[in-house]
Amino acid sequence: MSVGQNSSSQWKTWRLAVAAILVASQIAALAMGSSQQTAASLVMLASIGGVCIAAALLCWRSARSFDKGQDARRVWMLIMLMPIADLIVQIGYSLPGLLGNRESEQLTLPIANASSSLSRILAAAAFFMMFRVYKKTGLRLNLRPVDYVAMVSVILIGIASIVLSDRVTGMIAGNDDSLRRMLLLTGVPLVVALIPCAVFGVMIWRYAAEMGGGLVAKAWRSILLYTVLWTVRIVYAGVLTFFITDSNSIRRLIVPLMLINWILLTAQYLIFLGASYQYEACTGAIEMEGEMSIMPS
Amino acid sequence: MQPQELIANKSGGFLFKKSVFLLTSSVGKVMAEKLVSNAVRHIGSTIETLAQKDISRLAVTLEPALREFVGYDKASKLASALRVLVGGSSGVQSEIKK
Repeated sequence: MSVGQNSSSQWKTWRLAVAAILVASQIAALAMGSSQQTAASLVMLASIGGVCIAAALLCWRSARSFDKGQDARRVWMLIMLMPIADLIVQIGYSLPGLLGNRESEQLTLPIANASSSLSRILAAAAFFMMFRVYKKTGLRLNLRPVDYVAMVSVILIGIASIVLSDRVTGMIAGNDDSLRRMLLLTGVPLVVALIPCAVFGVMIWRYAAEMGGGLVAKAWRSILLYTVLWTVRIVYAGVLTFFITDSNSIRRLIVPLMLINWILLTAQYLIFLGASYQYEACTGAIEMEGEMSIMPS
Repeated sequence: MQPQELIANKSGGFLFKKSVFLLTSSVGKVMAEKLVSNAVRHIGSTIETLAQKDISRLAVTLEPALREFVGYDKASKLASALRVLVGGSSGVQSEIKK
């Protein structure tokens, strides 16, 4: 039995369709290869841009489902800024190559880096606000040893990402010291957001697990996985820099390098998934257990 | 315990379960149980003594707590559904489609 608009099966179809489009676009970009590098970059940018915009729109619509002044409204507005920041990052890193104007990197890369770091601060703020919402319900937070292990692991991944991002930055900036300084400076918020993101992130994960299922829990799990995957991507890219010594090594590492795009795409899909689950929770049909409709009242 | 009380107890638990079922797909089973039991306590009742006549008040109490998770419109729809499907009110039956 359902009350209201789109049923869960319609939502499932939409989510699968978006996943299929992302995979197809990635395969198309791969097929274009180095011979049509500009076209491949454009396809990649379009697919990531599309999913980022879709995620941001769903976050915005979800936020508007809440009353003004409600924490959840502010939380989803903050989360909305994350895919937007990711899109700015993607544009910032792809644009100089697409335009064939390397000088513009002086402007686009620091902007991209700053929005990327800023999105971590937003994540920490959003997680803290959501933690307050959960706390208000009176649902007990039963942190287990595995949660503390997860917190420490996420912090360690974060530290590794900060350390290794210096290597990535060095590789991007090359001999340009001023660009390197700008990239390091704009990366400072990452350090500030590291511990709050890990601690509140794991707490919300536990709350979501304690909820006993449901769309809101799915939404939060997807958002948290996105945050972790986002950091893992930086670590992975940083590790790869150890193996890149010359242009030949880049050719040898083409498959591991392609994996960075897949991690990015999966992260973007996860934030889209989280936003879509929340939007479904706010606007979707009321689904009822079959058991209930046969119970006498 | 008298047979009448037994029926009342069974009915209270039964209404509680139905209310939880209604909210489970949105907020999860454990959270639904928590929110409904908070609301039951707030209206001065208990799970055992919960009666169909209490459902309307229960829905009013539950709605603000649901808004924190599913927003204004969905919380309002869930509250209406609670009145109709659990409380047996006929006011908004036209909103429900099978």
